[in-house]
Amino acid sequence: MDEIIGPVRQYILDTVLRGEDPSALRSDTPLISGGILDSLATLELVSFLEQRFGIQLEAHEVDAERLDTLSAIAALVQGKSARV
Amino acid sequence: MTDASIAAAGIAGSRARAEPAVSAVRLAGLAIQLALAVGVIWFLQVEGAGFRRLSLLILAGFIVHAVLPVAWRLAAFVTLSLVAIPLVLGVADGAWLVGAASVLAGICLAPVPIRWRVGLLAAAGALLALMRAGVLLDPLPPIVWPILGAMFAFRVLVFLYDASHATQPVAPLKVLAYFFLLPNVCFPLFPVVDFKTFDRSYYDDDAFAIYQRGLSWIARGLLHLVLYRVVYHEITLDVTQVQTGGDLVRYVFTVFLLYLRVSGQFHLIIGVLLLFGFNLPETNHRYYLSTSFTDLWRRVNIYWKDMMMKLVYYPSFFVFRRRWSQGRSLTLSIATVMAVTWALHSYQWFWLRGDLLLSASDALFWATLGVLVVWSSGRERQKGQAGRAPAGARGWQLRRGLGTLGVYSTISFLWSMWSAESIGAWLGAMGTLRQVEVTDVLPWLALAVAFVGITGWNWETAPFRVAFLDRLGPGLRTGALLTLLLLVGHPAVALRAGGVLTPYVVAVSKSGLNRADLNRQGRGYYERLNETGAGIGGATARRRDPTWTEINHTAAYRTRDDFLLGELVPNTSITYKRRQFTVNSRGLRDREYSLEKPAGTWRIAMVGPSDVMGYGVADDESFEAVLERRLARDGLSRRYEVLNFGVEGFSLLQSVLMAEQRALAYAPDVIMITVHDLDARLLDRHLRLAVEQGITIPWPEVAEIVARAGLQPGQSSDDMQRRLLGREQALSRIALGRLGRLARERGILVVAVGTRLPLEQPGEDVAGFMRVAEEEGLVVLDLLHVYDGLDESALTVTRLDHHPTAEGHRILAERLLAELKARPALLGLGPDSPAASAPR
Repeated sequence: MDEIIGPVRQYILDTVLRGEDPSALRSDTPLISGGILDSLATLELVSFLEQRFGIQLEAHEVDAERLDTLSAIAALVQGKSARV
Repeated sequence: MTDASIAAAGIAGSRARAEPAVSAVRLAGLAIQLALAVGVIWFLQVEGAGFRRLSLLILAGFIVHAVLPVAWRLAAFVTLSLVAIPLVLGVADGAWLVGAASVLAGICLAPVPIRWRVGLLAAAGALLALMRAGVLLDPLPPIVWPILGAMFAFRVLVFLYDASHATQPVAPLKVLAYFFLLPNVCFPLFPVVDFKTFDRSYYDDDAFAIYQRGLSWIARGLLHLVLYRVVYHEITLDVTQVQTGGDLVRYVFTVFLLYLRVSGQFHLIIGVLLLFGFNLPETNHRYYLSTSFTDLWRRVNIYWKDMMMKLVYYPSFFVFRRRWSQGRSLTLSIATVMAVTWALHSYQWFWLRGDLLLSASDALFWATLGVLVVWSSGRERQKGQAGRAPAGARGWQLRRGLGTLGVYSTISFLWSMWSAESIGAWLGAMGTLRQVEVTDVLPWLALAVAFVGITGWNWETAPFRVAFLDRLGPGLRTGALLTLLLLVGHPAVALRAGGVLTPYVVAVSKSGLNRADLNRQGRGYYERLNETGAGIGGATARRRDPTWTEINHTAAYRTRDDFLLGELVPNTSITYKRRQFTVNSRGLRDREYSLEKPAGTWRIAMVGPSDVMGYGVADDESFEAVLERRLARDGLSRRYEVLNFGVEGFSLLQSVLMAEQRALAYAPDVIMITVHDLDARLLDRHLRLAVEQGITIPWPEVAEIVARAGLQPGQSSDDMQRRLLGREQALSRIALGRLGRLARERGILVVAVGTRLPLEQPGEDVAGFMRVAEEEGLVVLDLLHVYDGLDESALTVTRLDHHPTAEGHRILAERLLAELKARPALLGLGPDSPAASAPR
């Protein structure tokens, strides 16, 4: 999981949370429900995930259940990668 | 909990927390807060009689629900929701709603593939739409439609979307709970709860923490609704009231504050759902502090935004990106969302009100807002994600304050156009911009500076946390807020407030419409949608429905091509406002009278609008009829006849014309005319209609006023009303002065009766009309306080329609009789009576 969480965490720190304390972004920090990712940022994250991990997401998979935390994102990517 | 009990409780798939033993002390603390909220709802008459009854059910239901085993709670919630329906709507209407909703929910739960369910629901929806449009026979009671629409119009779309992508089956009880949401029966305007969130959030946190959050939101919702009353009654203006540049500035910058009603209702609704374990997110978030148009879109109605993202934004983005770049796809997706939002507002309007919303102002509003949001999101993309982080920079920033002011001003400006009856009326009001003077603008500039000062702080990081309040804890804070609301609504506080604060404090306890809206029953989009629920839960005949039409749309009324404009049709008998309505052979809503006055009879001719005619009551229940019976029963030394010349909607000018053309022929001894605040608007309406219909105005003084106001055929009714504003007192002087002269020439006594409708406090207009009557030599009877001290809400025919019930008429007749007895001359008794010296 760390090989997924690491790059995603760095992406979010670099783009959305620039200048924030990196330790505040834990694997269970709520990203969508906590207001860190808005709808634009969420779609940009989707594009990053697709390019970085070579997966294809569908519209109904873009929701707080699958993308709200780094752990959830990692699980989604892992599940998708396994099917590729 | 075992897996089996979790599944039975509908918590499967949820992150349900282990349930601690119910703490009696904590539960008592929550129950006290909820009891305080119920006290506020009852004391301030929040959201109608139905919601007041429902609030008691919520209080009792919450306590029982909280002590039940977790596995039973969802079933208890569904049961409570089903019980609420007949409690609020009555058994018959409630049965229709439960029946229709059960069919639709049954299709959602049918054990067939999702495409079959979609097809069946589409067919059912088409059938219902044809009924709602009046194409097919509509068996549903009118009050059921807006609630049924609120339950299914959007939620079924969300449910089908989630069901079609579900990875595990959903508990049927959860689906029933989702459609039969407890507070829905009182609120046609309902936040679009997301099914997946509803399912996932059920008891996903400590139960007491969820309950406490619910109570905090209920208190916040009540605060919004109280603030709304102050804005609605004392701060904002209607477009028809804009006379000067100062009025225009006030109208444009305050009209968006009316959205407090919607956010108040939404907080209340979601707060109630939290009390039953549905840990839903907030519906609105500090939307007056939005720093950009996209920020506003994200804050103002979060549930709507979430639905749009799920059903439109993401799916359309995934389609567009196959052809276009990411940036262009995002822009097109946002534009699609705004277009669909416009269409769905019309769709919502159709289900709630039964007609289509096709207006230029609506199209212009959504088109402009769409352009602003697309532009704003483009700017945010250019700035990069970090630049749009919700918290933003801490501390105070001038740029943030100015940005917030800019967003608020722009939206309020757009809202003022959207809320006006037509673009023409709005442009007419904008015409007063030429009259803006520095003194008009200075107070608003000062307010703008204060606004920038306050909103320049980053309120997301809570710059002014008060340590004392933090230490209180959420329970005590909520209790304190609710107690404060109870105190502010108390009449003693209003009396002691003193000075400039008094009207604002009094407005807190006003549950009805303001003056401008009483005249035309509602304004902007949300106010008019809320109207559909206004009659919910009232007593007999307390509902607005298509049969609740005005007299001029019935067979008992016909138009005329003179200044009287219309009259009652002789020898008609209809059911009007669900009461027998009979017109005699001479066109009076009364029994038959001979034209010639019988010897020894004292005749009183009553003229006036709906109250005299007996609107909403049966033939023998109007105060005119009751007065005649009481005079006969009291064994006075004369025989009395009271004749009813009242016609609904008649202005003072029409009533005086009626007295001239009809009443004088009956040789009355007294002519009685009622005056009210509403007469100002009836005068406006009368002259508007006369001008629109090209009718010659027979009285030169009136024609001159119309000419000076610049009334022309083709102007919008709001524009004409605005032009006539302030001329009503002069018009009343012409009418009442003419009546006084005519009567004096014939030795007839003329009485002006100042009265009011229940729930409506007398204003400046009626006081002015009574003063004019006195100056014109009329006897003035002050019945403005006739309903003081009574439960006035029980004396109106509906919540929105404040005409008195039969009991209200009886009270009015008794009081009028007492006033007449105190002045024997008006009853032809005593030495001062004209009849004593010269019997007629």
